[in-house]
Amino acid sequence: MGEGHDQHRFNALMLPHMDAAYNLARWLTNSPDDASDVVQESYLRAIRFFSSYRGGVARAWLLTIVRNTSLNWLAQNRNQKTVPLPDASDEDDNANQALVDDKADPEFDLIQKQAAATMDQLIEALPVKYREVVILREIEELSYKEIAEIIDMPIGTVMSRLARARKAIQQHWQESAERRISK
Amino acid sequence: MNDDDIKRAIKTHATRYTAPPELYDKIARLTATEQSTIVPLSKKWLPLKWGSSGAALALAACLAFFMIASPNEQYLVEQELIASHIRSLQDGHLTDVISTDQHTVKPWFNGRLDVSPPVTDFNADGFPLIGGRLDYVDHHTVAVIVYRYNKHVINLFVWPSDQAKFNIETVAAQQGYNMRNWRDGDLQFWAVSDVNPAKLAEFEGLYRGQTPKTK
Repeated sequence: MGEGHDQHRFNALMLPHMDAAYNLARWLTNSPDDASDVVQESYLRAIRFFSSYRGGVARAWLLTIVRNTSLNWLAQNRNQKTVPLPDASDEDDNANQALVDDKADPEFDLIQKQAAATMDQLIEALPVKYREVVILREIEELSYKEIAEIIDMPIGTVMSRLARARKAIQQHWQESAERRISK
Repeated sequence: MNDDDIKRAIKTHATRYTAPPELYDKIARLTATEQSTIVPLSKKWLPLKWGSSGAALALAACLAFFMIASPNEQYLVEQELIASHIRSLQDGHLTDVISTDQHTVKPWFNGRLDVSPPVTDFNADGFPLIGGRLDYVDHHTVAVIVYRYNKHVINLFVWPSDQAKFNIETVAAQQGYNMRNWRDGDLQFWAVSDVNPAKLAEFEGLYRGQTPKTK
């Protein structure tokens, strides 16, 4: 297989997924500038490791790299605002611990803002490991299996994280919806 | 409100961000450049070591090949360094801290890294210090000290050395870039530049000769 062939193949397979790559990086880093850097870095890595791409869903393969690059970025960068939950509670679906900090979304703001802004805010407030599954599942619409591969966790973990994240979002969403209506 | 409702609410209201057009253009250009550096390992590694060298060198390479480092690891890290070097030459990527003052650059690394590489300005010798940045190579966050020789940029990558992992004291040339590596204390140093090999050797001599030992 010639180099030119590889190049065309890479571009044809990977460039169309730049929006998905950017979306994930943007959600994980919370910053447009950092997202751009992460995406660029991810494509460079993708090229370097393209020989390890064995077919399959190109978007999922690329997003694995974007996700890891984003997490590296977060680990290296000071201003990570969310605090991860202790791992012990991870698989416990019944844990009644709030994922979204009430103080992080002041009532006043919620009442004022549009539904979209509210939803974005609720997702942003989730710890990264919950946020990433929500983005991959609800926005990128990847399968549980693909998400499990991307985050390198069992499918059960993906499902329980999603369930907890949805529950947390739902609770606050409902409250803010009631407030929006009653206003 | 049930599970489906909240799923629908998320899908409806959450923002799907799209890549800015200029990012798309930039990456498309980048992949075009970068691509020329991809060559399957089997093709690249062997001719590189065996092609033009004599029997003795071939034997040395053979020993190195089997005894010291995995050629793949060495090759991959060299590729990473070249990619990083090329990227650093693009607008705004060369330095995170711009200073010709070694007393500014060195402290800048403190607190950002586990290592504090020696930083000395060799302006008098023709290799002025330009600044420093952080980069990511071989699964490490690494310090990069940036020097210049005339119009050529020299990137000096520094990170803790893993004794067993790479061949050290090597000289490599790939895609028109020259590379030298060495070890000092528990740090490893990789210099990458498009200056000629003799100049890069001179740079290594200066750096190793004048910097205080680490630890």
